[in-house]
Amino acid sequence: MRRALAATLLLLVGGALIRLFVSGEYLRYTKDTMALPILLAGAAICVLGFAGWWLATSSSTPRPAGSAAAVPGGHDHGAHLPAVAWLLLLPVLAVYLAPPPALGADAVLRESTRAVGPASELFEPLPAGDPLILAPRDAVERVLYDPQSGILDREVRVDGFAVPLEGEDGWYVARISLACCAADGVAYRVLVSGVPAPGADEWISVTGRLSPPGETTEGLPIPRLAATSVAPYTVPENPYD
Amino acid sequence: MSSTSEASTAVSSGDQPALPTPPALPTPPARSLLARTLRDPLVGPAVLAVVLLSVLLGRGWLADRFGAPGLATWSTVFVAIVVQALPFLVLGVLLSAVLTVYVPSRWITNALPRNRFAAVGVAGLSGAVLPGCECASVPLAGGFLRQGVPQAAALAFLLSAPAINPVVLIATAVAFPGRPEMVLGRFVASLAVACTVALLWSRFAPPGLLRLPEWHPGEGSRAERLRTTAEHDLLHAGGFLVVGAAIAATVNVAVPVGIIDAVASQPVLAVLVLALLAVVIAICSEADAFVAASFSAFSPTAQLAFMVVGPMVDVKLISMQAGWFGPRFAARFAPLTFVVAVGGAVAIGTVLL
Repeated sequence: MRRALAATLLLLVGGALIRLFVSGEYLRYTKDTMALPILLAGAAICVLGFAGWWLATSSSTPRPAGSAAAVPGGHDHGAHLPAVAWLLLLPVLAVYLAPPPALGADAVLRESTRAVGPASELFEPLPAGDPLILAPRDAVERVLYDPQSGILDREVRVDGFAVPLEGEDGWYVARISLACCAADGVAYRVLVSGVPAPGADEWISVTGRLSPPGETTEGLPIPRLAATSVAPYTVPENPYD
Repeated sequence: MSSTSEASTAVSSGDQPALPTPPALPTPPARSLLARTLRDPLVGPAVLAVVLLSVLLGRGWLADRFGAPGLATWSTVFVAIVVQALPFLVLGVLLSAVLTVYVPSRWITNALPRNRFAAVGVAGLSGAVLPGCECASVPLAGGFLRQGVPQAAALAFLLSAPAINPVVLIATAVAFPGRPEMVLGRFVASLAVACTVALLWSRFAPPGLLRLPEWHPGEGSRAERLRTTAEHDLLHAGGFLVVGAAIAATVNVAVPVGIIDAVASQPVLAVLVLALLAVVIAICSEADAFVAASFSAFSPTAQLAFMVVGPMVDVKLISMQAGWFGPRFAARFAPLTFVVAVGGAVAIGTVLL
């Protein structure tokens, strides 16, 4: 019985990982490079679980009913299931029943994330295009660390999700970047003015002109974008940058 | 702690009714099946059924709850930590099971130098070959201990592996472009701290503080023992991983990291605050260099302290160590490691950075 329970638990955990891989929902939680490790781990856990099921069903039938009792603790002992293992059901059930969404406006406002300096001191020349299409991260790095590129004189389009601000002029267009998983996400954002704020977490394209950050209230400088138009943007398969 | 002791009491109380059963053996199969079922802990399946049923029925309510932004962020971070850690945990558990079942313990003990200092050094350095993060090193260190590797050597490996392996060092180099001294500092400080803690522990800690979880490989073929070992380790460590992930997610959502910049200019406080932050936010060692780099207002020494402490002491690790080696072990080992890690980071940071 305990063996069968342990095997069931393993199958639930392994199945959850495989489900995340197949549905692509793992991209809400980790970087895309984790796809293969997640699939392999899910498969390995399922193999353990299936083997456990097979042993539990095949070894219980031929054994005389009393043999397990004859040895105190019986052959189930090796498979004894620590109570703490049941906690694995929490994330697993969340994955099956109500997979949490990707990080969004709430995470940005919590400042549980923060922006980093540029990955490199060397910037390529600005690409062609009118408007110039930028991720929030590019917009932040160009304005803060590469203003001489002429970024401030170009019409730009920044794609990301909306973060409405309470009681302030403007709103953020933002995107979160992961180093490893959602626990270490950092938000890149631009303060938009000139157009009304969309709903929180709506994916949008904002077109306008960038300018350097004004007075920084606290924390990191946030570039501004004087917007002329805002349009819906299809939710990307990988919500992170 | 309570959950482990509950587990063991559940096992023994579940076995006790077994004693009066043998006289009832000749009863019809249906009766003995019932007796067998009763002897098993019914709590588990009952809880499972109730949880499944209530979650299925309350799905809409849950979705509404998860819709509340703060809770949604919490659950995203919580699930993310578990999903990110599980592949590494599986790797560590499988390696550990192979080690336990297939590698004769003589091989490992013979491979280690007799001299305690040399053994700790070799074990610490060999951490460099495990391409993973801290979730893989805990079960593997447990596997070494089962194989009779001296505590000092196993602990040196436990502490050094997540910090000095190539994946983590490359990530550090990427996070600090043009500053190879950060990579060197991390390697030297982590290795030195791992060996120092291991030697201090083996010299001063009372024996018997470190207790491996009750575990019986059982009889049967090697493949069957491999499966049993891997299953037990995975479920055990996985449960404690969930506890650690829940704590880390709570801190992640509740603590606005932005306010920490306020102490950046005070040298001593800056080191302590970043070191403590590394403990509570429990970021994977493959990613912590990027987070360390983002604290650009802090001194390089404080950033180094963050990267040395994180892979050795954090809430996720403390939880898993408590599960593997006993709560009494974790309660002493974690503070010792923290103090030595901060000291080591400051010393190396002063010399190198």
